[in-house]
Amino acid sequence: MNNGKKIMDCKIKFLKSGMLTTIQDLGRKNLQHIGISKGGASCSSLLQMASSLVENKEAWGFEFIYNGPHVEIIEGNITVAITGQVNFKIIRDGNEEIGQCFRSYLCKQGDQIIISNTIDSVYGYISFGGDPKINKVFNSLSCNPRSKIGPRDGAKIKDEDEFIINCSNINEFKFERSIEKQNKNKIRLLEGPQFDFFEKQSVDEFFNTPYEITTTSDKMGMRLKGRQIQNQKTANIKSEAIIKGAIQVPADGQPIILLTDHQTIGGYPKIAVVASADYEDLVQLPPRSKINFKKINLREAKISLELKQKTLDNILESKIKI
Amino acid sequence: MIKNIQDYGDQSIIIDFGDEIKKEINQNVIFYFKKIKEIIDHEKIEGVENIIPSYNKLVVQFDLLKIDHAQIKNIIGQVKIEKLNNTSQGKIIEVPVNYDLEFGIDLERLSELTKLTIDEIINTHLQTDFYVYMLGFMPGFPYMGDLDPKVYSKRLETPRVEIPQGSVIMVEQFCAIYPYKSPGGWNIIGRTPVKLFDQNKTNSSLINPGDTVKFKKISKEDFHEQWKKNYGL
Repeated sequence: MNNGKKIMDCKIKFLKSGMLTTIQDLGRKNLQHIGISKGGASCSSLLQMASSLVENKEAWGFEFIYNGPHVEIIEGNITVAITGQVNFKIIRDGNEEIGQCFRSYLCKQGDQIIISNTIDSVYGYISFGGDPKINKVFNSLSCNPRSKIGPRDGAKIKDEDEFIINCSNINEFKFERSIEKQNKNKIRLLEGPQFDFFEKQSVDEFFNTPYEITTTSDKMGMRLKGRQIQNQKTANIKSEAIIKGAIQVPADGQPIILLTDHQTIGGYPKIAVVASADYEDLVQLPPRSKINFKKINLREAKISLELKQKTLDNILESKIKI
Repeated sequence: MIKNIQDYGDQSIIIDFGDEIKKEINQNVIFYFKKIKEIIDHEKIEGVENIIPSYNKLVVQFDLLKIDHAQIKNIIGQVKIEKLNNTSQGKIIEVPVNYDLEFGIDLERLSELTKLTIDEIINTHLQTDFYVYMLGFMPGFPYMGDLDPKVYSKRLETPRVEIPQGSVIMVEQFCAIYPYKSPGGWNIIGRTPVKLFDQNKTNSSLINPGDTVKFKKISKEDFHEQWKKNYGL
């Protein structure tokens, strides 16, 4: 496994945890029938990029929102990469420099990464090169603090938390291809399973007037404010499985988009579902942003998802040593 | 059996088995849930990420870059409709409960509401074979039915901020158990010392969709003894 490289333990310490920092990978499958949704990184492509830059075969890292963590390397050498639109500083050998996203840095004992904030976006990721000495739960490192699922009972990172990482890579990398900024306010949708519960005029308005993201949004769901959606049937259905990106409309007519750590079942009718290709753009929009929706069909959704994957593959393939 | 199959976003389909909350309908849901899983495992089909039963529906969620809607519908078409045999039936699980008023804090109110004595309510609960329609809301939380209409109750108008772990609760025809402490608006009739969910165990959830749950009355002493054994407190 080590390809002749020297493997050593490295210890990192969170001097400050940041606003809400959690360990994430790409989530856990085949458990929603016992009440556990897939979870994982909200922006999985950003986590995959960060992981690739530190040569991790399996994507894993720390997800932070708005105000990120301060991390110090306590023991050993380790590579680190930050992805997203993130302001951060890096202190190496006592010299402070402005950090660049989408490249990796080799850090030594005593070096620090000081993440201040995400810029016009919500999520950022920091990956360290190596395997963490953390016991997986249901074969995944993803943490959901609310449902207490994940290593350390899914808890978020606290100040002073330390982790040991088995690291082997000392090379720094970057991507040759440039990365498009996220925050697209146009979000494409497909019709939801209870699309016909809503009045036609309301449906037209839903697709043609902007909705605002409210401040009561989190990783479970995004509450929107805008034109009230009129239900012509019933605001309650027999509870059925929720999927990521489903848009439910409770009796008050204000839509809620179910996000990565969504509940597993729900009893409100769903007017639409976010196209998977646009999901990561959606979750990067901070509260008070306005969203414009556009309805597409399944064929268009598939083409756009394939295109998004191709773009990510091209970026990952453009990785070069610095 | 299947009334309708619909796309549910670009990476899921939803299968409709009928409008009502009925054991007969849900047994078809669970039958398909198990059979689809069998076909996927047997043929080593990649890309299916979750199969999720609810009262009257089944959702298959998948990775569109690995498998598409037509292939999923093809798998569903492969399920051979056969009589529900024993293998597709769930397990029978006995759950001990202490119904003392200290735990069953809503029993007195339910007694007034239903004009039944507290013992009559408890006995109705004990005599019911509860069928597990689905799990959800939180890990390991079972939605079970059906209670006798004579003990039907409504949700509290103001949900409680915190309901203790292990609380046995009911509303309308349904009964459930809280695997963790949680806010909630159902009526509390007792408490079980059994651990419903443990993320560090292979079979994490004690109760699974399609199982049958029978409750057993235990004393306060037995409750505390078993609680200590299960939770180490």
